[in-house]
Amino acid sequence: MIYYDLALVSYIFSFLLLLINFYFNKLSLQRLQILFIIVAIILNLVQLLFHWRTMKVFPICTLQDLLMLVSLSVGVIYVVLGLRYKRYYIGLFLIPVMILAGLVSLFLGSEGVQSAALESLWLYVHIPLAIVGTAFFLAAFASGIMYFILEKQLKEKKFGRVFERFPPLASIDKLNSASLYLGFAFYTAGMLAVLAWMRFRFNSIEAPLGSSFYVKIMIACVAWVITGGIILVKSVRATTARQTAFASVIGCASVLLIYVAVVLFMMR
Amino acid sequence: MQLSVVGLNHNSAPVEIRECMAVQPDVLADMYERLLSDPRVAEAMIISTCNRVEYYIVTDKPYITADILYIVAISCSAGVSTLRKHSYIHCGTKAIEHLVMVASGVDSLVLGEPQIFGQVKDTFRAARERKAVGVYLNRLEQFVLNTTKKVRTDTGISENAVSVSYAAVDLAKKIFGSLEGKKALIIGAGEMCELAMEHLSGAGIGHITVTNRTFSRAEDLARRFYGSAVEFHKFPEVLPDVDIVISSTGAPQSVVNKAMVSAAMQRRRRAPMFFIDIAVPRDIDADVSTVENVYLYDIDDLKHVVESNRKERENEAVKAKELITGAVVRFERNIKSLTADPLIVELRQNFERARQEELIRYCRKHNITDPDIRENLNYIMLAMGNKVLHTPIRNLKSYIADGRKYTLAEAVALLFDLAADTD
Repeated sequence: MIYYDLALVSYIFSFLLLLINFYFNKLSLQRLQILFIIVAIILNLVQLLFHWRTMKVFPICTLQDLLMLVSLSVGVIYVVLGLRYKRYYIGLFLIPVMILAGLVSLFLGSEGVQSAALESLWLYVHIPLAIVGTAFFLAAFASGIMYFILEKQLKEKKFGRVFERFPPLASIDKLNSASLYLGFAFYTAGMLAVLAWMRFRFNSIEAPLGSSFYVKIMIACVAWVITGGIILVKSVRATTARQTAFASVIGCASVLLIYVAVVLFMMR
Repeated sequence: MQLSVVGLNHNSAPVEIRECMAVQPDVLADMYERLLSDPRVAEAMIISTCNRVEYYIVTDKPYITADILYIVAISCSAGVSTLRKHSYIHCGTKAIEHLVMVASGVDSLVLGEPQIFGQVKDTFRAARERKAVGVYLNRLEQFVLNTTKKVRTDTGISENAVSVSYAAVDLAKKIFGSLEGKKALIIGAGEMCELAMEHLSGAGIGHITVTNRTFSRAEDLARRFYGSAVEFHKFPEVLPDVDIVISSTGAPQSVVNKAMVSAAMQRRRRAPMFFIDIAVPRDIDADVSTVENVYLYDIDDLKHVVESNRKERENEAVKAKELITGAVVRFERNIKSLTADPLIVELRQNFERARQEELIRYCRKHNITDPDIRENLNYIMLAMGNKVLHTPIRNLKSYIADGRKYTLAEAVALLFDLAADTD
């Protein structure tokens, strides 16, 4: 776990640099912060590849692996969104998630073997897709929060650091929408993969009533319907940026809660 | 050779003196000719903007700088004594520092304003076209442009708006990001509205609609900015189509109320709207800000923004000055090391001549005709010579700008890295 430990340290340094830069706003600090996050992502990836090589199985079988994948996905999405929209302060909300995932995985060790994951290739497809989708939902959640903070500052005419550092409302809205759409696309692909897996396991796309799989699938469907509903309403009714931000915060929070519930309490 | 400057600016001279000393484009060539006709002036450059007129010369006799005023006075109604009273002279390091401060906006009326950078670049180009630029100004140009860019990127001197109309546009950008494709409505046709329209156009606004009680004035203003005009009583009809509203009328009561804005917001599906009220008494009811997705700022809010931005720029100017001072010291050292170049060239030529002569003499004496052997000998002598010359050339470059006086023995010891006790 040495690589992941180092990755975690890099994530923490990156977050500290982001906080310092929030005060000073220096380009050199920003570059250093991005460098740290990229180093962390590389180390995180190396650790996962190392696991893959030693365990001879794609690293999605333990909670530890999953959390490492979560921090990696969120990290990559942060860098991609940061480079695309030049809005690095979304990291104020995303990097703590990576750090939290890292810390929890350290405490968990390699417990919680997910035996079902070894049974079919479809689960190897489903889990990474679901995690990447969730990471995008996290970004949507974070940008929604950013929207409300900046909107409040603008309404109250407070021209402090938040006002200066945060991107314009329209950019946050774009970030929010992009995260929501991409998250939904990945999540949907993940759902399709799990249906394929069920076809393989139960010879039907319906899980046996009352089984833990049935509950998991139902919960995942609820999460999918929530995010799908947000996107549908946004597309059909042309909701305002504020309404989208509100829906993403509520919707993504509920999806994340469901996700945590599935991962933490219903793994076996 | 060193740089000197004589000039006047918004701090030192009233506008009528600046006007008098300003160099119009049609007389620029003549002015350069007059300057360069003085044999003591090696290179020259003239900056002439609305806030400053400055004559830069490169000379080894900096005391002649004040004499430039006599040349200027020929085409100026003010006498030399008046010009002298309102002008300043800087020589050497101070002159270089001054030029960089001018280029980076540290010395500008609006601290950190960016236009002056372009004007300084144009000035260098104009001087080059008139063959007034030599080695010194060439190097200086690179230095000034690089240092100015560094000042602008490393300090926040050009960040944040310092005028009310620009602050309004800046605030709009905080909501909409880019203003491209956005629509604005200007209520009023006064000076503030005109300034706001200039900034909006500069920011790439999609379309501007102007309304005014006197419709012809609205039309005039709209035409100038490729916009459209609407009659004053009809402006509520265009309200749903615009994203930004800037109002500055002399009306004694409000011209935009909450009901009007609420109706417009309904029709535009609550897309954000940004209202700037720069009129006193205010044109827009304060309760308009309670409408969802509506952002309203009045003149006091903007003044507050401008004031805090100005203070921030002043703080950044201190950092900029420190940066400039350090950079100028390094530049001067580089420039002084240029004086070593003729010596180095001569030293190398002497060595080359001696090498060629010795090679021919040796080959003739020992009857060496084989080209390979001659080539080898040539190579050995060249390598040895380069090795011998490397140390004195390196030391010459580094000590030439030293300014200290050395005895001959000390100088030789320094040049050749000799440890012998020169006492």
